[in-house]
Amino acid sequence: MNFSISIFHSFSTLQGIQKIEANLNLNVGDFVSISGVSGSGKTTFLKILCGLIQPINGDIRFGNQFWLDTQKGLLLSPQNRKIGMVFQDYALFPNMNVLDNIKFAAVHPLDKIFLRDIIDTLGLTDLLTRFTYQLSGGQQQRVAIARAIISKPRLLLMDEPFSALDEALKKSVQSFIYELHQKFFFTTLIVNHQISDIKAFSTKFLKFEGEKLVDYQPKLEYDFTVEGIIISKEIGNPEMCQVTVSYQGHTYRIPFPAKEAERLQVGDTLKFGSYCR
Amino acid sequence: MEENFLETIFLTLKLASVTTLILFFLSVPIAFYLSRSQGFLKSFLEIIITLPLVLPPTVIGFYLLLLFSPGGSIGIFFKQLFDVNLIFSFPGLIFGSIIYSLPFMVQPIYAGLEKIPVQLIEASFLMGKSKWQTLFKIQLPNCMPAIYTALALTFTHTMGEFGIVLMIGGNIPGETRLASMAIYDSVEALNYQQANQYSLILISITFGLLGLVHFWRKKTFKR
Repeated sequence: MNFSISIFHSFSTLQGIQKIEANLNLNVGDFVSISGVSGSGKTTFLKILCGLIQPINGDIRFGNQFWLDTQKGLLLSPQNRKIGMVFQDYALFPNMNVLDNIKFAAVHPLDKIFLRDIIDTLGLTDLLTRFTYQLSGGQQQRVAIARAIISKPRLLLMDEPFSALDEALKKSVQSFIYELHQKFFFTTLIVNHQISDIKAFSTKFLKFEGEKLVDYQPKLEYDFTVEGIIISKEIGNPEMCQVTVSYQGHTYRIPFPAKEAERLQVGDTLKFGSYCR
Repeated sequence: MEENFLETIFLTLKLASVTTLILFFLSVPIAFYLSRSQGFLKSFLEIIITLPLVLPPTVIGFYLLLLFSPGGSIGIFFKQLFDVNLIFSFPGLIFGSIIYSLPFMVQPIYAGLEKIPVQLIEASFLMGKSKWQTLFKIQLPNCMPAIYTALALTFTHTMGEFGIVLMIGGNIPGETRLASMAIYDSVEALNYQQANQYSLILISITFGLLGLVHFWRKKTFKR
């Protein structure tokens, strides 16, 4: 099933008129990463998908359902799109505690097992009776994530959802979201400054080039580095040399320029990196 | 203490309570409309609502007198439909107070609704909630300090109403004689002790109410 987006929108900002244009063909079930410089229109794009902003012209079709067709004057209300959204500033309701915030977003009848699962995974068990003003930024962000996924939305939109989480929590929340994405067949669009955070999960990458939102393939980047022990060094040709490194019982062969390899000895430790893609 | 002292105080509190209650239910939809709309109609409505704030009460009272009198359009309507005289009567005072105190209820609630971050409303819509569900579950609960202020201002302002009461209510004990009129009468009769008694009661109630609002606001702002 397709999730096709073809929109054009322009709006005035303090810097002048800003335009957004997107012609995209996504698949329902995609995990999409969106990047772009600050002020490029990422949040506005998400709000257009939600139906909170009506673009000047265009159409959006999610599977067999038209969400927007400006030619025909069709606009499906945000209430009927079944979207879960994590707002950049969380948008938690100050008059409700954490549990009520999450329950307010849930559909009836409440799936109590799923609610418990979300609360446990996001580490909210001890925070349920707290009000939002009693939470740190990271805690508020986790509540916002819980609130966005409790209704098992068709489309999950997340605007900088991991910015206030520490590294350890970030990894577990990312894995949990990806697990849910697969389990409930969400279509997930994440706006993130650090593409490396979600690169491993993403099936599609979009970025703003000027006013246009376009597909792109991110450059390969180091995902992690480890330290291993050199167990052998083989000279292949006068130019290149192959160094075999042992790390946690596995061996890795790393090609090296012969000149560079001269200073390496068997038994030395060597830091080396792994690529994410 | 004058014979009708308690009756006058009771009538003043009754008028303030009834006016505040009616105005609350009337003002929430008006403030909601103002907070969501743009354009000419909004500006026009805002000006109309602000008028009682800046016009001399006697001006409003004069026109209400014309409209409420047995020959006036509203006067005829109420006489024929409900057999109620609006002029020099308690129902007439309620109508006058509603018009006179309207800005004191609408403006704080409108300002409170305007202050609510738009993201909260958007988040509620995305959770499938309607405009009215969002108003009652999110917007109004999150502008409680503004609502407390609106209730207290309307109540105390209605309690101290004088100009309109003078024009359309008169000074009928048990029917239209309010504390503010009683103070005026007492001073005219050089009965300063009685004027003092009425004034102290008004000051105490007003002070107590504003204190209560201050306490509630502080408690709510802690969040």
